Amino acid sequence: MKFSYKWLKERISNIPKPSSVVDLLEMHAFEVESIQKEGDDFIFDIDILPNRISDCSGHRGLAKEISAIAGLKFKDKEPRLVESAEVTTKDAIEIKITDKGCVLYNARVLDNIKVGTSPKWLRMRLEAIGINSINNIVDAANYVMLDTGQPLHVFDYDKLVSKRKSKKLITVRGAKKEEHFLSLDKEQYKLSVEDIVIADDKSAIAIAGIKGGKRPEVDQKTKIIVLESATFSRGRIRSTSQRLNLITDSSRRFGAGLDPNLSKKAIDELAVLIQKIAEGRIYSGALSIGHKFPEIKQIIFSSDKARSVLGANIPDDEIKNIFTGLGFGIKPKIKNWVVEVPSVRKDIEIEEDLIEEVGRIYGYKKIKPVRARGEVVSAKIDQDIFFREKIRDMARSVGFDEVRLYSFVGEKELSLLSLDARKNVLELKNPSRSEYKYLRPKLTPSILMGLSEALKYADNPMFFEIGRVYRKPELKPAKDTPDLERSHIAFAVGNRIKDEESFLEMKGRIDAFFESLGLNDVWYDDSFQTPDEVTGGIAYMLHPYRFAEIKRGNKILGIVGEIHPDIRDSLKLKGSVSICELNLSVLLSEIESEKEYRPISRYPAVMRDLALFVPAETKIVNVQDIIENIGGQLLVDVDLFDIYEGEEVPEGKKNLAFKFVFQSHDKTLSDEEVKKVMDKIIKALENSDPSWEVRK
Amino acid sequence: MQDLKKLEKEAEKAIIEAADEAVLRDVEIKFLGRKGTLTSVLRGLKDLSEKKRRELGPKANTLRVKLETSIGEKRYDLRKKELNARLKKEWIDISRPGIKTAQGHLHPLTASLREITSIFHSLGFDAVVGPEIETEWYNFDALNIPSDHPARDLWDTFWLRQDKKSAIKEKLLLRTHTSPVQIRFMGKNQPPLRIIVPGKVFRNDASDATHDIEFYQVEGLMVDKEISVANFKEIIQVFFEKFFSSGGGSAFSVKGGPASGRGGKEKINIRLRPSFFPFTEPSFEIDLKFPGSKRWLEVAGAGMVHPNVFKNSGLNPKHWRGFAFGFGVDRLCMMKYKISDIRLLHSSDPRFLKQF
Repeated sequence: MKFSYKWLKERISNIPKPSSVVDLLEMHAFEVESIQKEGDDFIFDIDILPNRISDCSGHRGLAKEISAIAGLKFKDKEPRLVESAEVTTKDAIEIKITDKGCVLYNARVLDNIKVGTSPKWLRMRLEAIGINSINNIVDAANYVMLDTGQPLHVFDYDKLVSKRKSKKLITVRGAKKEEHFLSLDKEQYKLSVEDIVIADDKSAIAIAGIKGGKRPEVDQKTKIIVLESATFSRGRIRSTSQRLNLITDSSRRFGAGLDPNLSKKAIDELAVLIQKIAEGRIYSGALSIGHKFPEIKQIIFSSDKARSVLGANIPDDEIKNIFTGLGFGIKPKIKNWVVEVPSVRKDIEIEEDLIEEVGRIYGYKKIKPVRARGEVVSAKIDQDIFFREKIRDMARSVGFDEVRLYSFVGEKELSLLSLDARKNVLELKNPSRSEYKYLRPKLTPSILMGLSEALKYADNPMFFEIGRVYRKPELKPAKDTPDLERSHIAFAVGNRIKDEESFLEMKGRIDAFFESLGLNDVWYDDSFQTPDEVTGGIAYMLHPYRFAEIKRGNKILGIVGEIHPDIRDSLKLKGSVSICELNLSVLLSEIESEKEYRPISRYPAVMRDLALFVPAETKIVNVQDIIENIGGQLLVDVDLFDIYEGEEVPEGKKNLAFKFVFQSHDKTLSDEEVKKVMDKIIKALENSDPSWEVRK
Repeated sequence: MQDLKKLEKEAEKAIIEAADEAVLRDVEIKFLGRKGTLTSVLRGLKDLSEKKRRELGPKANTLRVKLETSIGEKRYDLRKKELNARLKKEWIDISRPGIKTAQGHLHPLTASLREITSIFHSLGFDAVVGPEIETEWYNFDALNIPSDHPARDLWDTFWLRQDKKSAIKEKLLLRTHTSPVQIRFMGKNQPPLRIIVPGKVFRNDASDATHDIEFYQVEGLMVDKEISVANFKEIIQVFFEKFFSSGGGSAFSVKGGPASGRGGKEKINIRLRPSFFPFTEPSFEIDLKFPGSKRWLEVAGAGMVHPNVFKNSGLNPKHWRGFAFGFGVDRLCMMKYKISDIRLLHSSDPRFLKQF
């Protein structure tokens, strides 16, 4: 909000220089967005806090605030109102309130006014803060608003339509459904029943608290005017203003909530000012319809508590001075005080609010840092958080770069997933743009998009992300919002040099990743009989012969695979891309169950190699399963170190070469013992499939 | 006798003159080999008379040991010389770039979040987390922000579309701050307590170089019997000093953050300015200023927990007092690493990601 230094100066004895005013405000009340020199004046743009609009959205209130901060004298002037004895307001108009959103409605009537240009001082005041001068009546209303903070409105009395001849009826009512309204600036608005309007007997003449109407506009011929000064429910004004996307000086103030007592004072000020610059006769007795509110609030206050909360030893006298400067009354009781706060300070309701007044006027700068008393209990490290960070480190150590992508996705990303997976997606009511309309149900589509970008700059980008995914749960209804979220980790590998390699590159790296987390027994299942929450929608995106579920025992950790060639083409991916997505909670619980230490054998290990021919389409896992099952306890590790097709290998076959590690926890193994197991393995392999041939 | 003396001289000379190991080996064979000169002498002893044998035997044996020792020493010297010559040829220009490892990079926000968490951990604060989707109650009403309150305009909110089947009847939104976790945590835990809440938050705001629709925040909350503004000042001062003075704190290098190029003696300046948040009373903004700079930067919001927030969490505000604060992690991360555009933090450009 804009404020003029010269205007403020009128109210403050010995006001400090403009830059000092800025410092005082910033350290004790409000942020000052800017200060600009305008002729011989300075214009401040001040960020009045939303809870201080009621008392500081006018020059007078702000001047009072500055005086209190600087300990200077605030010059208040009561207007001298001279009413005519011949005419009374209530004989000229009647006010009816039928909508509870109007708290108080004050009206006055003046006649014999002379509409014309405003005096120079008034025009300059308004223009200094960017308001165009219209005529002396409208300018006066604007001036009083900028001075007191109370928005006011003026109607041309003769233009109000009335069924009765003797007086005009002004009704404050709810708008009718789709009621049309033409504003002063000739904009058409379609209203709804939640809106409040000011109406005469014909139609709405103003949207309450927001904008005046065209029809009863004051013009050069206007002789009799009705002044309006009211108070409305802040919530109602706010919602109408937001729905119509119509924010005005008036709506901004009413939307924050104003003091009804202020509206009564402001209307008198406006009447006096108009009489001063446009002559006219003030009808006697303002009409004031609605609730009455006490002008003073009483709050119990303990200066001991204030000192303790602030952590500063501020003497009672200083606290009293602060309150007096702010215009608060103090009644000392035996232990506590009763502080009397004027109703315009709507922000002050409880003792804590008074403590804030003491703190900020005293100055937070003067409060010295003090270490909190009481024992510092060493903080616990959450296991999940600890292992999550470990997972991050391990993902990095096997070569992936961490990304943090948006939680939002659009149609494009969703279209990659199966229809089933899209069913339970959460959607925004008010997205910032359509590409960010949904909350991502999986990480894969986002990380894939990220990787396709990266492939423009890098030959072999590798990403991982840990983040939340969101969906309506399928099995049981969500009780609370945590049920709508899951934590996942996703990996992506792109390779635009070796087109075939992304899958194996991915698998090698995630194997190393699992191993570094102590999960050596993770296995890959391509039977895909049990799609779950992670794997379900993603399998659809993958090459049907290059993907697998990742399992440990029967638990599904996630899915890994190469992106389907169709998707690769449609996204114009510059290379082969593979992804992996895991459920982080399952991963965490598996890691935590593996935490215990397993003793290292004191006896030497024995190595043996084994090579066999199998048909090219034979799955390695089938061979490995037999080896591991037969190998038993003594076979501690099986490592496939070579797969070879080509020369020396019969047509249609491949050569698999394994390295076995045998070890016992009880003794040094003899050659015979190892040979016994090796023979059993060879026999089992040869028996299991006639086309398998162990090479001896 | 004469022969032995001559032999010794001859051998010693040959050993000294041997230029490399191959020559030395020849020398060794010549004198000590199976058919070597000295070996022949030793072998010939058995044919001599006992008197001659007793005279010549020990002398020949002594000579053998002497020559063996000399050859050993010479061989050692030659090896050392050769090794040195070879190693010299193996010289590597140590200013050459090393071979790149396959390690990836952690996100700069991860580095900042870890550092923040670890500093607060040392001050006794537990890290806890909460949901990113929140109800209107936890995000607003419980925090003393009723629906008609003008302060709601401070947070541009993303609301979720809800159908009638939705089991959660309350209005759902993406949390606009991490503050709802205050309510959730205090609802389940009895004070005294010290927590921080790192997490993602969302604002339906126009995005530009300094604003994004999602970013990270860290919320802090400390509740005890007698907590004061002065206590808050102490904690926040310690935090910012540590955050900006540490050279990364962990395995992450800091490239030219505000901490660099400064002696450790000058302190970061912190100041509190009055502000308004419905869930704290009094409320303040926290500004900081780096040594040598004239500009104050607004970095956090804070205040003493409002009695209504305690009530809404099931705690009696007469018994407990506390402070709460919140700050944007992206902003601090940008300051520390001199990142100019907040949107880069969501980037998947390897040229950005590989810098950390």
